[in-house]
Amino acid sequence: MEVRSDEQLLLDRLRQGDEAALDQLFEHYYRYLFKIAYGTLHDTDAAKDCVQEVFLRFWQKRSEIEVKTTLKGYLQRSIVNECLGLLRKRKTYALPETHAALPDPDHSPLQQLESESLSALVQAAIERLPEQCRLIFRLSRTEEMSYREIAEHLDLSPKTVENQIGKALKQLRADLGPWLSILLSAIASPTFLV
Amino acid sequence: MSAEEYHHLLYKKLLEGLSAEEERLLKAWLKESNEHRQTAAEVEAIFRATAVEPPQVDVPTELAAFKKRLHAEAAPQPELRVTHRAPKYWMWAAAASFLLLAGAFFLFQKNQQPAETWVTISSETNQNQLVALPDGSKVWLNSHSTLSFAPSFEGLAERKVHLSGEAFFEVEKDPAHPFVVEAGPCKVRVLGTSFNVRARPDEPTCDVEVRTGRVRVSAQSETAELVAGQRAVFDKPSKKLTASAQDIAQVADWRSTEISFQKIPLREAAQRLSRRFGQKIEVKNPALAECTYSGYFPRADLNAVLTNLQAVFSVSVEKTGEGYLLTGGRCP
Repeated sequence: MEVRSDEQLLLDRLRQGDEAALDQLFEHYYRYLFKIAYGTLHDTDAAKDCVQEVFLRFWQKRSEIEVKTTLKGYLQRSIVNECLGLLRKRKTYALPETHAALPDPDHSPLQQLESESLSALVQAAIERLPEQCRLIFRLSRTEEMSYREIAEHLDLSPKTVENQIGKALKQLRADLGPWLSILLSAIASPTFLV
Repeated sequence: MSAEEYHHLLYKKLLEGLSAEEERLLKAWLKESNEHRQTAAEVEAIFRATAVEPPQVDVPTELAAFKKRLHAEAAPQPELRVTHRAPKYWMWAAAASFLLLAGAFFLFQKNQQPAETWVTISSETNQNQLVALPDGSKVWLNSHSTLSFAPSFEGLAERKVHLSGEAFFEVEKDPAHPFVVEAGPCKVRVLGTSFNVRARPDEPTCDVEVRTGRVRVSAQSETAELVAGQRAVFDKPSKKLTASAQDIAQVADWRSTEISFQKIPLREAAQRLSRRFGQKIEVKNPALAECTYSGYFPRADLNAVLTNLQAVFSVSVEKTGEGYLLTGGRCP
C-alpha cells in the first residue's frame, strides 16, 4: 500500500471537506503567503485580502485541486497570481503615478531624516521603477522565491529576471543618490567594504 | 559584463551567494577601482534598505476573520427576500390597467428598496472608511461622512447610493446599469469610472472631481458632463453649476497618507493644505507667499507640516477661527 505523506494526508482531508484541515493549512502557510503579498503590494490590507482570497478559493475548489509539485509551490503561485490580479485591476482605474518628491537635500530640515522618512523614500523610489522591473524586484526581495520561480510566474526567461533586477538596482542607485551615504552608515557589518 | 550585470552579481551574492566562477569575476571587478567598490557598497545599502519587513500579524485573529468570511459567503441572504416583496406587490398592481401602470410604475421606482433595509455606513471625524458595494465598486469615505445603499443591486435598473459628506468612488463598469450618487441637491451618474464627490451638508457647495472616465453631474436644473481631469462645483445659494479643470493627481488626495511639495510657491502649498485638511491656511505676507517650498511627509499631518513651515520660513503660526494664519517670515 502506498504510504501517504503528511502533505498528501492534509490534501485528502481538505478534499473531503474537513474544515479542521483548512484551519491547519491556514495556520501553517499564512505568514508565508502574507510575506509574499506584502512584499509585492506593500499594502497591509490589500495583502491580507489577497491571502484570504487564496485560502477561500482553495477551499471552494478543494475537490478539483491538483497539486503538481508541492503544496507550498501551488500556494506560492496562487498568491502571486492573486497579487497580479489586484495590480492589474488597480491599473484599470488608472491610479496616478505617485510622483513623491524627494526632499531637496540642501533645504530639508534635519527632522525629515528620521528612519521612517527614509524607508518611505526608498518605497517611493521603488514606485518609480518601470512596472515590470518593479514587480520583479519586489518579488525577488521577498526572498521567498527563486529567479526560476519568478520567471515561471511571470512567463519570462530567468535571464530577463536577472536583467531587470540589475536594471532596478542601477535606477535605485541613481534615484537615491544623495541618501545612500546615510543608508550606508546604517549597515553594522557590511559585506562590501570600500 | 555590463554595469547592470555587475549590479546583479552583487545582488546575487547578498541574496543567495555566488558560484566559484562568479566570485572570481566579482573579486577581480572590485579590485579594479574604488568606483566599483563604492558601487558595491551602495548596492548593499539598497539591498538592506529594501528588505521586506511585513507588519506583525496575529494568525489566530486572521483565521477568525477568515472563517467569518468563509461562512458568510456560504450563508443565504434573507434580507433579499424581504426587499423583493414590496416591488412585486406594485408589479402586480401595475398589470391592472395602463393608467394604473403609469402611476404604479412611478411608485415602483420610488418604493423599490424601502429605505429601512438599506445599508448605512458612516465614518467618524478623522477617519477614512473603505466600503465595498454589492456590485464590487469601492467607495472611500472621508471623515465624518455617511453612505447608504441597498444590500443588493439585483433587479434594479440603476445602482443608487446616497452620500452625505465626501467620498471617492471606483465604480465597476456596467453600462447596462448606471451608477447614481445622490448627494444632497447634486446627483452624479456614471457607467464605470472613478471620481470624488464632496457634498457636506454644512458647506455651501457640492464638488465633483473626475479621475477617470466620464461623469454626468446634475443639480437642480443644471447638468454638466465631465471627463477625467475636470471638476464641477454647484453653489447652493446661487444654484449655479460651474465646470473647470482639476489636476488628476490631486483628485481625492485625502486618500493617500503622504503629502509632497515639489518646489512650489508657498501660497500654492497653503492652498493645497487648505483643501486637504479642510481648514483655511493663509499666508499674510505677500512676499513670503512667493517663496519656494519643497517637502515630503510620508504621513500627512497638518501639525507636522506647519511645524516644518515654521522652521523653514521662520513664520509665526496663529490659530484662527477657520484655520491658521502665517505671519512674518522670510524666504530661506
